Amino acid sequence: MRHHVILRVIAKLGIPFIVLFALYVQFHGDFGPGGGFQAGVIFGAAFILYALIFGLDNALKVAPMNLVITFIAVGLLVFAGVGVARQVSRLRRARRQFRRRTASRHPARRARSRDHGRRGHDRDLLHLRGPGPVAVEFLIGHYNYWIFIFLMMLGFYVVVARGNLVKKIIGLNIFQASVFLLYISIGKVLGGTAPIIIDGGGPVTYSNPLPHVLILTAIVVGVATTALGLSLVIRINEAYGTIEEDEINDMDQEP
Amino acid sequence: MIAAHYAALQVVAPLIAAPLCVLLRRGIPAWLVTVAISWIALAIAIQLLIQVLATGTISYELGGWAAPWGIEYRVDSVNAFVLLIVSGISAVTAPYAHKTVVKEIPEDRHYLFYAAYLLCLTGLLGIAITGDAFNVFVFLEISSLSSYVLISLGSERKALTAAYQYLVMGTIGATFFLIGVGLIYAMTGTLNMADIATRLDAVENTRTVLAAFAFITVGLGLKLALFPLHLWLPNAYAYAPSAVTVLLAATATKVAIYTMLRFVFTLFGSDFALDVTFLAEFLMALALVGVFAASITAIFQNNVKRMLAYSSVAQVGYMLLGVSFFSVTGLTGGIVHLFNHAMMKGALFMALGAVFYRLGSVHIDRMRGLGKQMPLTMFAFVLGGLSLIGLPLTVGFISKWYLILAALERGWWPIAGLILLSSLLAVAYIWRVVEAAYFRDPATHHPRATEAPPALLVPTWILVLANFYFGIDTSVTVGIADNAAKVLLGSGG
Amino acid sequence: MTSELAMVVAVLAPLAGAVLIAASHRHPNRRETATLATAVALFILVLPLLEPVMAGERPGTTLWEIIPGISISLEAEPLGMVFALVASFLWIVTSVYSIGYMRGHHEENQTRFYVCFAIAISSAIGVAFAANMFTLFIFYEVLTLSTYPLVTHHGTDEARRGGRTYLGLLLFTSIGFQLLAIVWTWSITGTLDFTVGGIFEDKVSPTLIGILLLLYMFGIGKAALMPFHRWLPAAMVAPTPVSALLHAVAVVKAGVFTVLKVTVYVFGIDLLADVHAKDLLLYVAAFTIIAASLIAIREDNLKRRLAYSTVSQLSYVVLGGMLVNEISVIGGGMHIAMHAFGKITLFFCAGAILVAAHKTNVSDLDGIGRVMPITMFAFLIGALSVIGLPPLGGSWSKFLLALGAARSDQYVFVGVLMLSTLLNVAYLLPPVVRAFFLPPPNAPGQHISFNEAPLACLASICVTAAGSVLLFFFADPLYVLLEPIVITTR
Repeated sequence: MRHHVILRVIAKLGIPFIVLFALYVQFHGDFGPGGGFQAGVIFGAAFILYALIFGLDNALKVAPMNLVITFIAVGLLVFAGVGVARQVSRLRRARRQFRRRTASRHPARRARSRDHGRRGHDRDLLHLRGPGPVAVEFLIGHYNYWIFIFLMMLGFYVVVARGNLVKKIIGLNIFQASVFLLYISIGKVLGGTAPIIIDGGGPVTYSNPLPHVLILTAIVVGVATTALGLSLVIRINEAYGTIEEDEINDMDQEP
Repeated sequence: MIAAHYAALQVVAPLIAAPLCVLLRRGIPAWLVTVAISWIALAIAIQLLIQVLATGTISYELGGWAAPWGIEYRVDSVNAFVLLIVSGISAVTAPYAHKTVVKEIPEDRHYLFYAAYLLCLTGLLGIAITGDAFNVFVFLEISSLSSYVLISLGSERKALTAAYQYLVMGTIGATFFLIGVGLIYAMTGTLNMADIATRLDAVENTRTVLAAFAFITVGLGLKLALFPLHLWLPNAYAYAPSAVTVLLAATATKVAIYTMLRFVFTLFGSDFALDVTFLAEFLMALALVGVFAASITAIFQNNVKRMLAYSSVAQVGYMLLGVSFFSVTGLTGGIVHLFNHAMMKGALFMALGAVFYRLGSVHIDRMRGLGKQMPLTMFAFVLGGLSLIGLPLTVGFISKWYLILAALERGWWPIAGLILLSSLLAVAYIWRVVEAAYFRDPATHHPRATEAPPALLVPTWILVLANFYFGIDTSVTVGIADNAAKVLLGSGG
Repeated sequence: MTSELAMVVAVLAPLAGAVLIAASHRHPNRRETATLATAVALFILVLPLLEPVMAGERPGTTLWEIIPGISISLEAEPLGMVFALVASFLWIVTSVYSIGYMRGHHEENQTRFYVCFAIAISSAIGVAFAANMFTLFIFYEVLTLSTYPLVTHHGTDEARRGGRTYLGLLLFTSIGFQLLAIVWTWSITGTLDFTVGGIFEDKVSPTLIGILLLLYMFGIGKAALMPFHRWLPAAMVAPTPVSALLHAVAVVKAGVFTVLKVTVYVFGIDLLADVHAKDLLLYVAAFTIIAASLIAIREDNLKRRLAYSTVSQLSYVVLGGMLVNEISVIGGGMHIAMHAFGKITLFFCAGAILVAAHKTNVSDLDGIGRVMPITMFAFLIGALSVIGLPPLGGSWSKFLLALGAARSDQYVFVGVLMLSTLLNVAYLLPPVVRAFFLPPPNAPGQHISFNEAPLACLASICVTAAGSVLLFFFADPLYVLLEPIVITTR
């Protein structure tokens, strides 16, 4: 796409701002919920955009493979190291400070603790939202589940019925997405607000944030699975010259 | 001071070592780190086990957040035993890995192999140790993703398709599991296992809980290769690098079975599983059919690794059969077979790895005459095979003994007979290899193989001897398994 | 040395011998010295145990507890003493014989041969001294496995097929039936110890006892009850010393020994008296006796003929056990010893003929008595002992078995025994008749020279043949020794 002048110019102009924005999000994490994760995604998006416009070769010059691998490893080490450091350090002060920061990063866990006393909410959700004996009401009242089931079956069907390995991965994604929706819809409380603590605020109804956090993790896992699956497909394509399942099977049978 | 953190270290040590391997960039240092960490993990697991047996359940609050809000690591005799199995096998496999990795994997990927290996270890240990239902999913995916990577590193191109197939099936399984956990969460409002266990009683007759139960069982069934959900396993084991096959065959399905035990017995409770669901009958039928179908399929395999992979499916059947009796003896048999099967399959796959190292193939025709060329390796294979068949003085016998006893206790003697008959099928496939190795002359156009290097033989023989040691001195294994069975049933009833 | 220690050492001695043999694999002389020395040492270890056992003592020791309540334990009792003495004594003889045979026949892999042989003997002694069913089962299986390399010694396709049948049938019966019976017994009684009068007491119904009895009897594949007898002829592909000691003495006798042990010490003969399954087994045994004899008559291969003869003779012991009275059980116990001496002589002769004259078939034996007179005379003695004619040992056991059958008013089986004797004559005497009375196939007038087997072989043959004769005159100690096993505590 490097032949398109407009794309090139806009990308060149945009990328620094994207990176800047990522940094902003990162440092804002100190004051409000969220931060590192989103910042990382935005940061990565800048590089992906660059690679899309100027080609993979140029992108690798900017961020060599070795560097990326090292960064991944260091990142993981820092991440895990923070946890370990906290365990090792027995200073109360450090502990208190850390707890405050983690608390602000993960309001979910905290909110969950408050929510705990009222878990009746969650349970009610699965039963009818009111005594509705009529079938129609049952259908409509559970529309989120029907969507979930439909998506799940759709994804499952694609995985089973399609011979194209990439399409299978897409099916897998739909399948997983359906579960994400299930989780999130479970957490929703009618009329609930975002679970942000307002100082001195009285009791407010808020949606259960825990499923969101869980699903955030699950999405990450899903992305990792997709990435791994697709890279496997690339390798398969290199080895077999095709990504159609039946052709691969035929080739495996021959020798 | 550090003793208090063993539970966390068990998982954190390999987790931190994995990126360290990546930073080291070299195969040999990464390997040394892997070996060291595996041994440390084993030491920690032994410490934990001793602690649990002495003082009862250990609860460790991760990051200082009290359960049920924070993530809790909870170690009782059941998972302490599983931790021991996983770390023990890894402690033997890691030293073994080096030679085979050099042979089978391009040099620029060695350090990545070890990183993936450690991540896989992290995942497996994490599944076993955690007391949080969602955390199980996370660790399940850590171990699965890294094992897809490990399998795809196999030297044949079929390894790629095998890894892909496993990825699809594994992800479906994990997602099913996730659905189940989500439904449980919706019903109880908690993810802490111990907490769920107390709260599920009140809602256990709802359809949602039943659905959750079904999703979790099927999802884990995929992961533990429950017949007929085992289709991913034979290829994955057959084409993975030798060291990976050893690790996965000896630990991955075991950990999945542990998770199933945990959910069925601790979370749902055996009463629920027995009264409300048909799990016992279902498991028993599938286990028996699986044992026979997989054993018979194994007889007709010419790739010996594939043969043993089918045998693994059959052995999973034995473990589940033990579980399906829902009695202390049956569970003891099932749990002790987790350990025993790890010993025998570890030994067998290690011997095969040594064969692959020398021959570059484990096809039964290529193994002709190996009895003379690689006497120690093949003798190790024979002894491992005898253990698999379940002859007395081997660990296989101990497992069979308890399984049969459990069947007879219930008065189901035909099932006891079937268990014994099925072990004769193992004679059939093991003896195909023995006859090829000892009674056939090697094909002349292949170069003569020589005995495997000590670096491969020593770990193999350690496991072979373990097969006999734990077949004679069962006080450790059976003692813990018995304790674990009582813990599981006690908390359920 | 105390009796307890002697037993443990007796089981371990052949294993130590096996290590020595393996260590000296480059030096045939040293290797064979090790074999012989071990054999002699074993006999010296076993023999002193006889005295305390005769005196009524039952020295026993527990080596190791595998599962709570289930241990590897040894105990010397009369039946086991008989078996251990026979096996250890004949090992010495067989060692001498096999040195001559293996060298004369230029066999390969001799070290593996001697090592496996020693392990097999060790497990046979283990079977003999086992104090409970579990220990017995362990040694029983080790015996199966350690003899497999011996059966397949030649490594040919035929050996491989024979080995497959051998291992397949023995493992199938022992794992499929016997192990089930053992676990079942354990789950009912909570013990597996051999106890005079049995361990079941009144805990179970006769039907269940019947099922268990069938499982045990068919599960002890080494007793070669039809239809699980095929492994024994299949094992004849082995070198002759193996066939002689293991498949005429150690392995098959371990089978019938186990049958008697189970009958006497697990069920107890009083308990079995009312069990109908034993009648079924009686007929199976009778059928095996007759059918195997008929097959033996048709077999031309000498070793296979002897093998079928063994199948038939083994069922004598089963018959003795299943008749469940004092006389017949003692008769069965004595038959273990008597038949051992007779049959090993026959096998030794068959091996000698193979080594010296390279002949394996009965039809080729014409006139061989003139070439190998000593061998063929010993063959005659062995044959007569197996047939059961005085003054040879075999007559006593057969007499006691017939007497026992008459005691139980089971005259059918007296008839079976008599008929079997006739059949024995029909298949064992023709080789002798051919050897001595038919002319050799070569042109008459050709000079016939003596061409006996190597001296080591010949000496062994003479020893066992003499043993068959001596046992006729010294049968009484054997009877006295065996008597206590049927005197119940009740």
